[in-house]
Amino acid sequence: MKRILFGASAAALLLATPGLAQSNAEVMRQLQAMQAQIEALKAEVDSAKAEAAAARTQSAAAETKVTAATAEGGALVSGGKTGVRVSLSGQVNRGVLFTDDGDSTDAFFVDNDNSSTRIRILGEADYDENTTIGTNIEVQFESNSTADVNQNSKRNVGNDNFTQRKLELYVDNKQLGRLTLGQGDTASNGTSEQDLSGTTVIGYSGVTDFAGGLFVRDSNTNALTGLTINKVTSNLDGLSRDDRIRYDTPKFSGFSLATSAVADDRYDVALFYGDRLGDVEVRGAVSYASASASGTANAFDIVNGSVSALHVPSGVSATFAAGTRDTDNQDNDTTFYYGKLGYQTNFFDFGKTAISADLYYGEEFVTADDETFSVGLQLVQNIKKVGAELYGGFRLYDYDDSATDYETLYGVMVGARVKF
Amino acid sequence: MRKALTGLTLVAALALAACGRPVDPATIGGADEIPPGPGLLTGPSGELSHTF
Repeated sequence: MKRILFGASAAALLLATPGLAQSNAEVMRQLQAMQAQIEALKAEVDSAKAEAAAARTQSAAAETKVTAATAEGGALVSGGKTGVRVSLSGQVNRGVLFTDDGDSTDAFFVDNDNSSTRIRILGEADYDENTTIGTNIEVQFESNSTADVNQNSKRNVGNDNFTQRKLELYVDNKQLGRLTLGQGDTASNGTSEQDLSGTTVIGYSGVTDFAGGLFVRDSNTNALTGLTINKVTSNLDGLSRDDRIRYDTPKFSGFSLATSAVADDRYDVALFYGDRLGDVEVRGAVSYASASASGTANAFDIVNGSVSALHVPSGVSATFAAGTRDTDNQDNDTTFYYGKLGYQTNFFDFGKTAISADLYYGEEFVTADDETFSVGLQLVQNIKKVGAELYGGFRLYDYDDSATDYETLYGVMVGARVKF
Repeated sequence: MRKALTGLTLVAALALAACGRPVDPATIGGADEIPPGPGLLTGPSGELSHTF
C-alpha cells in the first residue's frame, strides 16, 4: 500500500513540475517589484529627512535672529535705510470720576483729559552731525473723556476712533534751530502750562480738563443749565494745536524763541526759558497770539504766560500762570490767574511722591460780569519700575454771574497712568 | 488760633522737606505730555527704540 501511495505522489509531482517552475518566476518578478518599491520609499524617506533637517536649521536661524532683534529693542521689522531711529511710546490714563453738582451725585469711568490715552511714533535720521530730520505721529484715543462725560451722558461718550494730536515733520539744526511743518503745537501752545510740581497728570492750570463736560446747575430752578465747565474755564493757552509752520531758535542761555503761522491769518510768537539757577530749577514761557475772524468766530488776541520754580533740595515748587483774551465785538476781556504750591520727594525707593494744591480765578468767559473760581488738591505716587503713576485729586468749581445763582460743583478723581 | 495753624503748617512743611530726598527735575513731565523716563515695556530711554 505504501508503495502505491509513494508512486502516486511521485507521479503527481512529476506532472506538476512545469507549473511550479512557472510560479517561481512569477514570485521572483513580484519580489523584484517590491524591492523597487521599497527603494523608492526609502528614497522618499531620505528626502523627507533632509527637508526636516533643513527646516530645523532654518528655524534655529530665525529664532537666533528674533532673539537678537528683541535684545536690541524689540523691533522685528527691517528698514530700507540705515541710521534711521524709530521710537514707539505712549500711555493709557484711566480713572474714576465722582461728582456732586449740588443736586445729584454721579460716578464716571473716564479717560483723564489732563493727559489723554495716546500712542506716539517718532522717526529720526541724522543728515550730518549738526542736522537731524524727523517725523512725529501722535494720536489719542479717548473713551469717556472727562472733557465729554456729563450728567446726561455717562457711557460711550466721545469719538470712537483715534483723533489727531501731532502729525508733523521737522528739520533740526544745532546752529539754526528747528523748522516744523504739519499738525502740532503752535508756538504759544503750552505757554500757560509750565509746571514743575510733578502733579500735572491730575491738576494744572487747565482746570477745565478735570471735569470739563459737566453742566452747572441752576440753584433756583434746580435744573441743569447749558453752561459746562468747558465754557466757563480756560487757561487761554495760545492757539493750541493746529496745522501750521513753526520755527524754534536754538537755546541761548536758557532762552529760546518760537513763532508759528496758521491759516486764516493766525500767528503767534513765544519766548521760553528753562535753566537751573543754583538750587532752583526754573521754567517759564510767555506768548502773544493773534487770530483773525473765521466763520462764525470773532477775531481775538491772547497774551499769556506761566512760570514754575522748583527748589531741588527740598522739593518745594511754586507755579503761576495768567492770561487775557481780547475778543473783537465783545465787551468782555476774558482773564484768568492760576497759582499752585507743590512738594515732591522720594519717600519710597519705588518712586517719588508729589502733592500740591492750586487756586484758579477766571472772569468774563460767557458774560461781562461772570466769575469762575476753582480750588484743587493733587496727590501722585510714581511706581518707577513699571512706568506707572497712581493719582487722586479733588476739585471744586464755583461759577457766578449777576443773573443766576449756580450750585458749586465738586469732583474727586482717582486713577492711574501707565506709560508703555 | 490763626497763628497756631500757620505755625503748625510751617512745621509740617519743614518736616516734610527734611525727611524727603531731592528729585531730579529731568524726571518731571510737562502738562499734557507723555512723561519722561522708563515705561511698562521700555528701558531707561522711555521708548521702544530701534536703529536700522
